[in-house]
Order: sequence, then C-alpha cells, then structure tokens
Amino acid sequence: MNNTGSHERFSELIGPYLRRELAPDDARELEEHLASCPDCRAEAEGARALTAAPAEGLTEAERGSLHAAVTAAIERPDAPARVVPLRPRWAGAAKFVTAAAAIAVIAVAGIWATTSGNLGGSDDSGADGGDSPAALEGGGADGGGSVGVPRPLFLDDDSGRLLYGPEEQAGDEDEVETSEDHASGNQFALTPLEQGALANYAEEGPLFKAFADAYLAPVPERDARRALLGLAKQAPLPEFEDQVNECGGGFLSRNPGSAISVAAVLGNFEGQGALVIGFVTTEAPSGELNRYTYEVWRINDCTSPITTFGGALVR
Amino acid sequence: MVPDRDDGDLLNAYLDGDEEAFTELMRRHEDRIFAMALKMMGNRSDALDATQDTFIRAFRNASKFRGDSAFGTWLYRIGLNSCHDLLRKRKRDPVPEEEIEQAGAHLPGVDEGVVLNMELGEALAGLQEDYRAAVLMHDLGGIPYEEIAVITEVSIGTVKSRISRGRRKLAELLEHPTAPDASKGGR
Repeated sequence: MNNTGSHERFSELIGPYLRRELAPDDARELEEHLASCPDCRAEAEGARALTAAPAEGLTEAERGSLHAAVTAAIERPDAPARVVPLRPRWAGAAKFVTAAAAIAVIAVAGIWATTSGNLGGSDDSGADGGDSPAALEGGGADGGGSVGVPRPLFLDDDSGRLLYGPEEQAGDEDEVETSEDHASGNQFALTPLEQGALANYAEEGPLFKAFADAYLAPVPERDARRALLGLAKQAPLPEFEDQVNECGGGFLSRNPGSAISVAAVLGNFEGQGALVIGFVTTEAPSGELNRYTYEVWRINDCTSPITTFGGALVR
Repeated sequence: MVPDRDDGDLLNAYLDGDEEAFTELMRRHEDRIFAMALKMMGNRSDALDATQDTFIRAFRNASKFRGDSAFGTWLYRIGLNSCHDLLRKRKRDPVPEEEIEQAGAHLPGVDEGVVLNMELGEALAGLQEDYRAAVLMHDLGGIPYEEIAVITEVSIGTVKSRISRGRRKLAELLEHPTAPDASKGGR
C-alpha cells in the first residue's frame, strides 16, 4: 500500500477531498491511508491549512477602491468619456450670466486638468482654489482672445452642436434667454479658432478630451438631477452609479437650481481610490461669471468628501 | 453586462477598446486573486495592494497573453508574482507595527482568522518559491496539475512532487500536529 505510486495517488486525492468533491468510497480509502501514513498525513495538514483558513472576500469598499485604482492606472487616451455636461438652464437659472457658458466650455476642461494632476498622485492640495482660477483664466479668459467676445452658448437640438447665441446679448445680465429664443434662430456655430481651443485641450489628455468631446456631443438633458442620473449610469460599475447619485445628489440639494454642468472621474487621490464629482454652477457673487466646485470622495462613502476644490470663473 | 463570453473573448474585446470587458474580467477574478493574496500577505492592506498590482500588470500586458493556459491561471501566476515582489519589498522595508495595528483597527471582521492567515503567510514565505507557487495554485486556486505544468514549464511529475513536498513543508512550518484528524475537513 505504501509504495510511491499509492502515495502519489493519495496526494492527488487530497485536494478534491478537502474541497469535498471526492466520492465517499475514495474519501474513506484516503482517510484510512492517512491514519497509517505520517507523510501523507502531514501533506494533508499542509493542504488543509491553506483551504481551512477563511477565504475572506473583498469588502464593497475595497472592491470599489480596487476598481478605481486599476481603472485609473490603465486608463487609455481612447477611454470613453464619462462626462455629461448639462445644457444651460436658460429659463430656470435667473442668475445665469449669458457670457458664462462660453467661458465654461474652456474652463471646465481646465478644472479637470487640475483635478487630473492631483489625482495623478501629487500631494499638492489644491484645496486652495487659487491655483485653479489662474489656470482657468489662462486657458479661458486669456485664451479668451480665442474665445472672443463672450456670447451665450447653447446646444442646438438639430445639429447636436454647441453653438453661440447672438453677440449683442453678451454681458447683459438682466436678460435671461429661454431655449425657445434660441430655437427661433440667430445662432452662430463655434468659430474655427474656438474649435481649435477645444481641440488643444483635447490633446492635453483623456480627461480634457472627454470634456471637449462631451461638450461637442448632443446632450438633450436639461435637468441637473437627470443629468446626474445619466452620468451615474455611465459609471463603470453599479456601486459607482449609486455613489455618483448619492454624493452628487447631495451637492444638488445644497445648491438647488444652480448647476449647469456636471462631470465625474475615478482616480487615485493621495494613494487611495477616489471618485471626483465636479459641478459648474451659476450661483456666483457679482463679478464672477460662474463658480465651480469639485468634491473628492472616498469610494463608497458619501459621508463627507476627502477634500473640496473650487474657484470662480472670472471675466 | 457582458453575458456568455469567455475570458478569452473578453480579453480580446478589452484589447479592442471595450472597457466593459475589462470590468467584467476584474469582477470574475478579483475575489480569487484577493483570497490568494490575503493568504500570501497576511493582511488585507497588503493583499489589496497585491491584487491591484496584479490587475494593473495583467491589463498592461494583456496583449502578451498567448492563451497557452486559461486566463484565470495566467492571472493567478501574475498574482503570485505580485505577492512575491511585495513580500520581498516588505522584508526590505517593513511597515511599522503601529501602522499595521492602526490599519487593523479599522478593518471589519479582523478576528482570529486574520491572525491565522498571518501565521500562514509567514509559513508560506518560508517555502521555496517553486513549491509555494505550485501549492497555492493547486490547493488555493484549484488549478489542475496539467495547467500548472504548462505555466511553470515543468513536467507534471515535477508539479506533483512540488505540491506534495510543499504541503509537507508547510505543515512543518506551521508546526501542526500531524494527528489523524486531518480528515475533519472532509466527510
């Protein structure tokens, strides 16, 4: 019985035996052998130590963190956009400054450039929104040479393109347009220079590109919460869908009626997986066109953000 | 969702730019890789790092997967390497005990099982690498001898021998009594 061949056979049976996959007769035979063979018994003990220790799975928080970290690490330039811009709420946002959206197109990309830098593992806080407006002014307002005279911006239902409204309304803070006004005509497409500005941003990296693409793509959504839902549905995993809704919904509740753009991105923040949700809002003190805020959340945790970045889009 | 596609299809889809395929592949394999890493590393934090490293390596090298073995087996092998590298790093640059304690204090379900895993991790670290890989792949990963032979590029006989010796060495390192209750896990 205790020749090499039988040892080998019993050794092969140990795995299935511990997994309870062995036929009763074979199991009994193995047990009898183990009782009389110290070597095979030691072998079975070693195997049992591995299989007996609790096979603990990932907690949901760990799973989320893992997905975020891996996604961020392997993100490719051609990764699909996970960005949903809102259509400016012309009728509903009384404080909306007509020039703002034209800046916002460029500026939102700037926001995410800053975010991306932080997500890349740098520890520079950025909690001080001071960096960001500078970046935004550089890209938006100064580059504003390329943006030209601020004009209202809207999405054309027919072409699905982002278009400028009539130039003469620029800076007219009292006059709030409705989408019906735009539908009546008198629209201007983005100039080649302005398209070029977006394209330049797109070359800066996948997040910029995502924003630029998203802004140029047809987006029928006009309600902030519904846009958030749409964004959440694009999340790579259901748990992110829930978290985008929950964390982002909290922001919308605290800032009702003011959001004109929302975006989200997964990444690494200071060594841990993080979800960043950003908003551009129209609730801005005088002198500012728009305000932007983006909140960095731990995965599966909407209790309070790790940090919040923000700043103003200024003229 | 990506129903009814095998791992190979999903990997090809991922290489063609399908992000959903990547997500599905992770979903399918992450628990098994993490379970292995937890046993190798002995704590959840390092196991999570190793799991993360495994998937990043796998997806960055996805185009190099030749299909000689199942994707899960290939991934498992990468997981073992990730754990091995991290163990070596920890040996060189150990995490202060305070940090381990602090991390442990926040983890749910930290109990005797984790302590047991820590002992197991130490014992596994004491095994010759070839033995450890073979034992883990077979007993923990449920990978058949034949596949282990392919991915480790040795004969089936060598695989069997490594598993047998590795198990015995492991029992010795764990100082388990070799009492005949080895069968209590069975029926």
